[in-house]
Amino acid sequence: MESFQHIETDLFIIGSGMAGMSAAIFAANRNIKSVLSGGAGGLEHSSGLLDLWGASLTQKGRVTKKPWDMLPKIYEHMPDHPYANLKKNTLSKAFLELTTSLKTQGLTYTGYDALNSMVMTPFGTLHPTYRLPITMKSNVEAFKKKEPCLILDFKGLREFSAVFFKEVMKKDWPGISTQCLEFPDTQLRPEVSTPFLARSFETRQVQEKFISLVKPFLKGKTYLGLPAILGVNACDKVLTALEKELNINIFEIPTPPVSVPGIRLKETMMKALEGSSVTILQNKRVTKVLKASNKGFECELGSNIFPAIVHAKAVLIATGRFLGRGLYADQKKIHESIFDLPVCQPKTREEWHMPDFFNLNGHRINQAGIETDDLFRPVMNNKKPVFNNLFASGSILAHQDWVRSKCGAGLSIGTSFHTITNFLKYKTR
Amino acid sequence: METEVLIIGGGVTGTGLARDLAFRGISCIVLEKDMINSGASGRNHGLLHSGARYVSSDLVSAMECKKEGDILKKIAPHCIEETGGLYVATRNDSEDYISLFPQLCKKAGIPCQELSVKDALELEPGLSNDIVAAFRVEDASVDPFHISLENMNQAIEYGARYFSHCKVTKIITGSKAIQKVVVKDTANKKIFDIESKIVVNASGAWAGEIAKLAGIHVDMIYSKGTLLITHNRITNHVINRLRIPSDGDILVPGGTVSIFGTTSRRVHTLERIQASIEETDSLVREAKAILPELENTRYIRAYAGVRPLINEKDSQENSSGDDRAVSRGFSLMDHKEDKIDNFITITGGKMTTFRLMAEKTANLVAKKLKNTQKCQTALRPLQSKAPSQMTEAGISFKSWTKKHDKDDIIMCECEMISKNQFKHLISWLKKSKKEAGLNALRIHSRLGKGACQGTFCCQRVTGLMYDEAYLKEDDGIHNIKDLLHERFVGQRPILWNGQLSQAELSEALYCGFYGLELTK
Repeated sequence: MESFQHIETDLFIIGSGMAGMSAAIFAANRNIKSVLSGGAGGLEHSSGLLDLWGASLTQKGRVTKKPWDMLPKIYEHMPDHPYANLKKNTLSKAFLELTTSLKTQGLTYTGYDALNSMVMTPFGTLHPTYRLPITMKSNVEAFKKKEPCLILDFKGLREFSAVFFKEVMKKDWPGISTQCLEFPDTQLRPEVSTPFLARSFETRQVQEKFISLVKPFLKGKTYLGLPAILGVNACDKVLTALEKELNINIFEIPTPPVSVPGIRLKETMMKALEGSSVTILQNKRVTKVLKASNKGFECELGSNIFPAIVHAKAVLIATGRFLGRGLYADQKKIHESIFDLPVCQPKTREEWHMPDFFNLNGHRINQAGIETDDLFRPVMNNKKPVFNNLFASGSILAHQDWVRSKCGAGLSIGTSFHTITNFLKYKTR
Repeated sequence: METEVLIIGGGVTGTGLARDLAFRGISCIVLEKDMINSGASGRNHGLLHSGARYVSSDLVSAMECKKEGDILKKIAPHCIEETGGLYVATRNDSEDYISLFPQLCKKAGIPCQELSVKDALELEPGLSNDIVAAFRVEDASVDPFHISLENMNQAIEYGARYFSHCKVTKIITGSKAIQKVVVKDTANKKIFDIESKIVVNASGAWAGEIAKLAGIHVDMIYSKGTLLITHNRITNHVINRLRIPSDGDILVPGGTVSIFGTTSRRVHTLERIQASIEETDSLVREAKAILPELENTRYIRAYAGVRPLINEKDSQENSSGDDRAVSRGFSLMDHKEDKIDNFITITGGKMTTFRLMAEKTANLVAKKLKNTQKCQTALRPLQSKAPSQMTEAGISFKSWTKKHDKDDIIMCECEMISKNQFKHLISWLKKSKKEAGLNALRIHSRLGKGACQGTFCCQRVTGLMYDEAYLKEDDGIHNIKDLLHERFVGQRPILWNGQLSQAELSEALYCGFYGLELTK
C-alpha cells in the first residue's frame, strides 16, 4: 500500500493554466484556503498577451479595436457564451486585480482603458490584445509611427526570422532593416532558445556585450525590435537599462511557445502565491476521484513520489481543453476527464471540424465543453448543478471559441474571478 | 515548345517512362498538373507486392509483381526496405482460401513459407493471439516519392524536361494525329503550346479525361482507397490479412510509421477525393482482428487515392461496390485504332509494376519513332544525383549524425531534418527552378509528415527560406496557410485523442496567436 499524504482544504483548484493560476491569485488575495494542482504546460505555452476580445462581431474576418463594444453584442447574440454571465465591471475588475498582483511582483502590463492594442507578431501580422507586457509597448507604437527601425534576430534561434518579419512589413513600412547577431557568449551553442537567451540577458555582463554588439547598427534608427528575450524575472529592469544606454525605443515581438512572456507569467504568479493561503502541488495530476458529494470531495493525486489525497469542501476545475487534458475525445464522443461531467457537443464526429482549417466560422468542436449555471457550476442535462460545490472556469466551458474570438485570457481570468468571488458568497451562506 | 514525346502525368508511370525514353536517347517532356505523385502514385501503401495478394484473382499480375519486385530491389535498393511480409488469417477467414494459398503461390513462383502461429507471434508480437494461420512472403516497403523523384531526376540528367503545375487544357488533332497540346501553367496562369511527335497519356485515374480532350473514350472505373498513417511503426513486417481481398487488409511499415488500409469505394468523380470519417472508422474496426493495437494507437493522418482501373466489358460493379474484382493489370492502348496515330494511353496497373508498364509503353513509342534502342531501365541503377533521398523517413537523421557537424541544428524534430539539409534542398530547388516554397520542400523531404504535421517546423523552415532569399514579401504566409490547410485535410478524419490535441495546438498558434485565418 502506498502511504498517502492527506491534505485538507476549502477549495481545490485543478489546473495550472491561465484559469487555474488566476483563480489561485484571486483566492490568495481573499485569503481563501486553497490547494492548486496541475501538470506542466499551460501558461508556458501562452503568448503572454492578455486578450479580452479581438474578433469583430459585426464584420466577419476582421478584428476589433473596441473590445468592450462587443460585450452587448455577446449578451444579445451569444447568450450561452460564458461572457454573457459576466458584467463589464466584473471583467475589468478581474483584469485590474490580476495585473496589479503581477506588477507588485515586478511584471508590468500596460494597455488602453477602452481599446485593444495591435501587437506585431513574428509573421508581421497584428494581434489585438487588451493588456500587454510593458516590454511590448513600443511594439504597438512603432507600427503606428513606422519610423526607421532595426529588427534583430540571433544565430541559432529557430523561432524568429527578422527577414520574414521585414519582408511581410516592407510594403507599408519601408524603414525596417534587419541584422542577425551572435548573442553574447553563445559561440559554443549552435542552437539557442528564447528562454535561454532571456535568462542570460539578466546578467549585467551579457547586457554590456549586447550593447556594444548592437550599437553600430542603430544610427538613424528610432526603434529596435527583437524577439521576446529581455529577461525572465526582471524584464522591466532589463528594458529600462538597455533603452537608457542605447538611447532608443526597444520592443519585444512575442514568439511562439514555449515563450518567454508565458514563462514570465507563470513564474510571477508563482511568486505572488508564495506564503499565501494557496498551497501549490506542482506537476501533480488528479488520477482518481474517491468521493464526490455536496459535502465535499476526495481526490487522489497519483505519483510514485509523495502520492496525495486532497480533501476539499469545494472544487474548481480549470483543466483546459484537449491539450490541457480537461477534455478527451475517443472516436465517438468527447468526455470530461476528472468527473465525467456531461459535455455539450455535436452529435457526430463528422460535425466536429469544418473541411477547411481556416474556415472563418470556426470548428464546432471548439464550442463543445461544460455547460454551467450562472455561478459557473457544471450542470446536468436538466440544467441543475451536478454538485453545489463544483465549479468550472476557463477554456473547458462550452459555447465559446477563444482561439477565433481572441479572448483566451479574458475568458480564463473573468470566469475564475467570478467563481472565486461567488465561492466566498457560497462559503458564507 | 517542341519535343519528340510528350508525357502527360508526373506519377510513377510517367516519370518511369521519361527515364526509359531518356535512356534510349528520345527527348521528352513530362507535364504534371499538380506535383510529383499527386495522384495514386503518392497515395498508396508504399508496398512492393510479393505478388501473393493476387494469386487467386489474377495470376498474371501476381507473376509480374514477383518479377518486377526482384528487379526494383536490385536497381533501387536505397528506395526499398526489405521487410518481408506475413499473411495471417483469423478464425473468421475462409479455411478454403487458407489451404489453397500456398499452392497458388507455388504455381505463380512466389516464395511462401508456412509459419506456426507461435513463430509468427514471435516475429511480430503485435499480432492478435487469435490468428490461426501464418505464411511468410517477400513483401517489401517502398518509398513511392523517392522512386518517382529518382525516375524524373535521372531522366532530366539524360535530357528530359519536367513541368509541374501545368495542366493540359486542349488537345488539337488534325488528320490522324495530335498536332499540338495546349497547356496552362496554373502557377503563373500562362498558356503555351507543345508540339510533339508522340503524346503519351500517363495520367492514371485522369486517363479518361485526357483521352476525352482528344475525342477518345476510355472507360475508367474510379475506385477510391483510404489509408491511415500511425504515429509509430507498429510492425517490422508487412502484415497482410489472409483472405479474399477486402477492407483493412494490409499494414505496411514505412520508416518510423506504419500505413494501414485500404478501403475500396466506387466513386464517380475525381473532384475532392478525401478520406472520410466513415471509411476511417471502418478501417479501425477491421484492424483489431489481426492487430489489436491498431484500435487504440495514435493516427496522424488519413489520405485517399483513386485506383485507375479500366472497365473491361465483362467487369461490372458488384453489389458491394467493391472493385477489387476488376483486374489490377495495366492497359496499354495504341490509339491508332481510334484513328489517332501518335497517341498512346497507359493506365491501370500497380506501383510495383510501373517499370514494366513504362518499358512496354516505351517499346511502342520507340517502334513508332523507329528508334531501335533497347530498354535499359531494368539494368541500370535507379539513382540520380539529386537530393531526393530526403523523402525517406529516418534518412535525414542518419546523415545528420554521420556528418557530425556541430553547427548544424535540427529544424524539424519529428523527422529530424537539419538546417543544412534544408539549405541544401533549397539551393538545389533554386538551381533546378522546380516548384518553389514550403510545399516543394514537403514533396522533397519529410517536412510536415511527422506527428506535429507542420505545426512547429513550418514556421521555422519558412523563416529559413526568407533568410536564404527563397521567399519574398508575404509569400511565407501563403506558403504556411497552404501547407497547414493541406495537412489538415488529411488529419480531419483521424482527429480524436492525441492528434486532436495536436490540431488544437496548431489552431491556437496559427489562428489564436498569428491570426492567419484573418489574412487574405
